[in-house]
Amino acid sequence: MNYGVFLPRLILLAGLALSSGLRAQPTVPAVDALTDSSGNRVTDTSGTPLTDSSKVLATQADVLGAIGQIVNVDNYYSRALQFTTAQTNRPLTMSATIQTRYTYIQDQPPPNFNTFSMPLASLTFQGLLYKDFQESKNLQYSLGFNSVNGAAPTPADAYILYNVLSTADIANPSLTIAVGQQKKPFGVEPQSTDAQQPSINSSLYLTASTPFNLSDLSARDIGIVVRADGLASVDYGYNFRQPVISGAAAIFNGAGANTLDNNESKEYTFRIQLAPPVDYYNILRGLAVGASYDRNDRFLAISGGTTVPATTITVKGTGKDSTKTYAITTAAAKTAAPDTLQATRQRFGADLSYIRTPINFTAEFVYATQDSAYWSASTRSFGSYQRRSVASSAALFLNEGEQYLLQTRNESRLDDWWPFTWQPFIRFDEINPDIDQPTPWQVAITPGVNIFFARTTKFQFDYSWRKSEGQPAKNAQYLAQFQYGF
Amino acid sequence: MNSRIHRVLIAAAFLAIAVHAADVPKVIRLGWVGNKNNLASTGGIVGYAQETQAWEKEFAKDGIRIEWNFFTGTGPAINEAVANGEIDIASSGDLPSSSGRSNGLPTRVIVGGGADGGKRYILVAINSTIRRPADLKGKRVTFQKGTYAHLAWDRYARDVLHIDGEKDVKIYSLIGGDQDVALASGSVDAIYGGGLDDVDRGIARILDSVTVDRYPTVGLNAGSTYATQKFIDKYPDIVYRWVKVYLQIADKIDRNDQKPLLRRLGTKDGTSLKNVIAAEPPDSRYGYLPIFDDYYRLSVEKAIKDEVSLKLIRHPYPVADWWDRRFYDKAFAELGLAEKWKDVLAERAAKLETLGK
Repeated sequence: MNYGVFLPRLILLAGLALSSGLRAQPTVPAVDALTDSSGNRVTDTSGTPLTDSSKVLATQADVLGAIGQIVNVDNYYSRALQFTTAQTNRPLTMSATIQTRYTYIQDQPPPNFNTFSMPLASLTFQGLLYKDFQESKNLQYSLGFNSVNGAAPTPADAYILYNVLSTADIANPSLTIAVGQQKKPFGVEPQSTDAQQPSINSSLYLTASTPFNLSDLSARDIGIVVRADGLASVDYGYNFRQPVISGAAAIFNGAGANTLDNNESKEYTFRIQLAPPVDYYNILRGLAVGASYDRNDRFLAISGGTTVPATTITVKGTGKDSTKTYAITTAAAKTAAPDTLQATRQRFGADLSYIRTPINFTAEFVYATQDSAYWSASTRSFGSYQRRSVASSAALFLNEGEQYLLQTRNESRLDDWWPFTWQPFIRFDEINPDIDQPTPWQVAITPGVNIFFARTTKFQFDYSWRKSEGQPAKNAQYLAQFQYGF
Repeated sequence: MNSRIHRVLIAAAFLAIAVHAADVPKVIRLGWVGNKNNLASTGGIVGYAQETQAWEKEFAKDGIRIEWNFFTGTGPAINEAVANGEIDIASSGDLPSSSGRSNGLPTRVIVGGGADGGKRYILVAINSTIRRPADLKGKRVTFQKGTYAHLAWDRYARDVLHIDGEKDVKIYSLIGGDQDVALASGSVDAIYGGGLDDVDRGIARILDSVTVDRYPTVGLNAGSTYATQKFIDKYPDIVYRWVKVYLQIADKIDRNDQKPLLRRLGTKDGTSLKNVIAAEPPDSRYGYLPIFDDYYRLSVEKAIKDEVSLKLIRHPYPVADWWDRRFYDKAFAELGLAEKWKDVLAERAAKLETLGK
């Protein structure tokens, strides 16, 4: 309410009413009995007949009292607005997420790795730059800052988004354009929210410490993302909408979240998802299959100064020396010069998800190729070869509780309601960084549980059993984390 | 030996307690339509029960708690909660309750309804150029889709305006409070089902009022009060006691001395007393008493038929399969309501003709 305009007018009107009442000789107005549609008099609980309040003139004391209360409210809000209220030029919603974690990793120095940490502290501002009251073709913005493990905060999700089509009705198709720094529309887990990603750590293909992982798929980059969906299956009986087809196309720098591009080419990401046209109470609700593709051409820097060892061969003696061997150096050592290669990365993703509380299941498969550098002994120069890798991940988790139901959250309540609920889960995931080379593959099995005990607060506990090819299977991780915010 | 017998007896006692405990739930979770001011209360029979803690008192001796849930998202939100096992007994308007059942939601109607939609208003902005209902063609109309108002509007468009309610106007699906804002800002031209408080505030005027007497095919709202099949199967005695209290309150309210409290309950969402009274039907007995009769059955069947023809639901279903009258009929007989309500029953029977028996 705009008190600056409203209150003075109200006070003026009240004052005029009062002054006119003081000037005029008070007359007792005719007070009508309050009757119902049958003409019967209406009484209160004690049987006292009620009168039509619209016909009763307030007393001077009533008016003075009302004026006093209005002035008090006016003073309170005027002071609050001037001295104790943060103000913005546009509507703003602030939210924050903080993680406090304890990690214990078996058999990692010193001698077992264990530490407290603050993996994430994020602050996000979101709101509308323009609100379209008629068609809801709103112009939105987002500006977030993430601090990872205590590092200086960097922008995360800083973009402007426009709803090209009307969102006034859930039956309408959707088309949005977002420009700025944001996540890539690839796969399920790389762009998952909390509700779809129950474990503390992401899958191996996004986090593994291998020479080649695919963590950039879940990273942010600067560019343009166009998302659209259509053929929406709408069940008004539940205010439910599930588009049969949805997709996204994006173009990014391909150089990272907060950096300038370093070559002429761009990164392109495409995604399509199909879902069955079903009502809310159908067993297939929440089922979707998707496919994603990402391509990025970029310079692969090869650091100079690489020492190439001399080639040594072993020669066996002949005749009386047939029992002897001789080591012969065939070439001199060489130091390679710095170089760059135009390397192409391509990722193909396929996914299946079934998000239907209380049972939820996600599975995805990623096949990736990436041009990599190698040293050619014959040409004595760096060349490129295509590294191929595969990764997969599957998670099963249970959401049992009212907080997972969007409309139930919006019940009328008097207290600070939030149910105490559990979300158990188990995830299997693996990555083979180079299927053509004897590079160790990794596999992880992660059971865990999330305990929700306040609206924006949960406690998480994960146990992760990990195995790398050729390594003893002792790399167990224990993680406990509070995630909270506002 | 004695000690062993002792232990066995204690174990048997605990087992008996456990078996007995399984006969009653810890809580009965009720789901009702909320209001635009987001207050956790309602009016009518259930509002009266909430105010007087009738069910709390009935089930206190068994240690059963009553959990009240009022959904701002009205019928569709109730359906979501029921579908996910969060509600045991609920009530909503004709379209949301039957659309849930139509898609397989395992609910059974346990209390009959008045089938009267009360007095509803079609509001336009105070300075609108719309002068008569026919002017609504091509205009922007708002109500919340998926609720009773959705079916009522489509019926109104079909039977009063003689247009297609979905295609010949532009519909904006908004909840109550947002409807007022949209009308005041000029983003929509009319509200279907608006309240008189908007008129009092000077932002709207009445274009038309809808009652079952004025528009017999439009003014119906054959809403349903139902329990989940799972709850009925597990706790049939609890359902019976719940229904009996419901009917006892309805009977109590049927006497005029309860009207002041009912009206006060009606003002708890911010509606003025004057407008609460104005919204009352001429005969509240006829409109609101929970009665399982042919009038109610025909009203529900007409709703299902209209919902299918208007493409609001896909699958018609037989009403008889949806109803579970056991609890109601038993309580109705025990309370002697057939005699107490005989004039209302007779009046409703006489009105069957208007429904096209």
